Amino acid sequence: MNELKTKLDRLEQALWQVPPAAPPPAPVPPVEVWQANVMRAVRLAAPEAEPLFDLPWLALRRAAIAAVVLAAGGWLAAAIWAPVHDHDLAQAAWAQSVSETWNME
Amino acid sequence: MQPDAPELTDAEVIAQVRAGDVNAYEPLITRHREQVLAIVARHVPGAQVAETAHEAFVRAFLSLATYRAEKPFAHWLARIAVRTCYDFWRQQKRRPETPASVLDDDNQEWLERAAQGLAREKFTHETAQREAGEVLDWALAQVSASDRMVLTMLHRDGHSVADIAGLLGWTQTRVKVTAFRARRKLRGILAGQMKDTR
Repeated sequence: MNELKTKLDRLEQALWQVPPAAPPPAPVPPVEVWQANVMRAVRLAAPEAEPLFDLPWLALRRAAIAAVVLAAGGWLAAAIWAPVHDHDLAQAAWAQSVSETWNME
Repeated sequence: MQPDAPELTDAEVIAQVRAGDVNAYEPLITRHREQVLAIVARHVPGAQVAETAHEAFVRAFLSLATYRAEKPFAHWLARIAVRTCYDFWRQQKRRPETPASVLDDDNQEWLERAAQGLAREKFTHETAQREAGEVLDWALAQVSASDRMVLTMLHRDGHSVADIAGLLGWTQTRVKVTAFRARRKLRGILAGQMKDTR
């Protein structure tokens, strides 16, 4: 067991000394062509991104997300609390009816 | 002849892009491409570097609305580059046609020698380095994308847990737990291979 552990320690140590693969010396395609391709893709994606750059719209979006999260949180809290509350009310009504019955007698 | 216009800062360029000038994005690529290509080259295979870096810049453009100038643009971009590499490996894992790599005789010999502590004296030798790299690739191909990213960033690149958490957008606890489990998994894989080659 100890022998296996020692072997694994040595192996791990040797593995993590492997230098990461060096970047290719000449990028394929050449970096200017690559950059032109990136810009082409950016221009194509621009209509998708444009509304995002509109800061009032962004603020509105954040506010809408916050409202949805708050509403969901409120609903969840109500869903958890309501049965407990209903149970408490039922128990109080039952206690009152018992007490009234005894008082009547 | 007019003097050269002073170079705009990243924040000023970003403001122009946000104002609707898409072409203003190009200087950002020119300034930061070396950094992004270097990050990506550390994480994905050589043939995929250009495509993954391309994807990182497009993602950065689409997320530019969420960039806040409190931190340098280069840091924000580095996070996007690392996450793009992480997504690359997640997609690779989802592809059923990805062939499982196998160790050849030289790799297995290197593995046995390294386990005996015999590989180090000739580790600087190019062939031994290549074999070690192949064994590492083989082992990492068998763990999940998150395990791979955490293991390489922590053990090979020497990043701190806090750095990794920042780059991947995780909590430090998640990084520590993933690193612990991933290392145990990797040791299990290596142990299995050593038994096979005995």
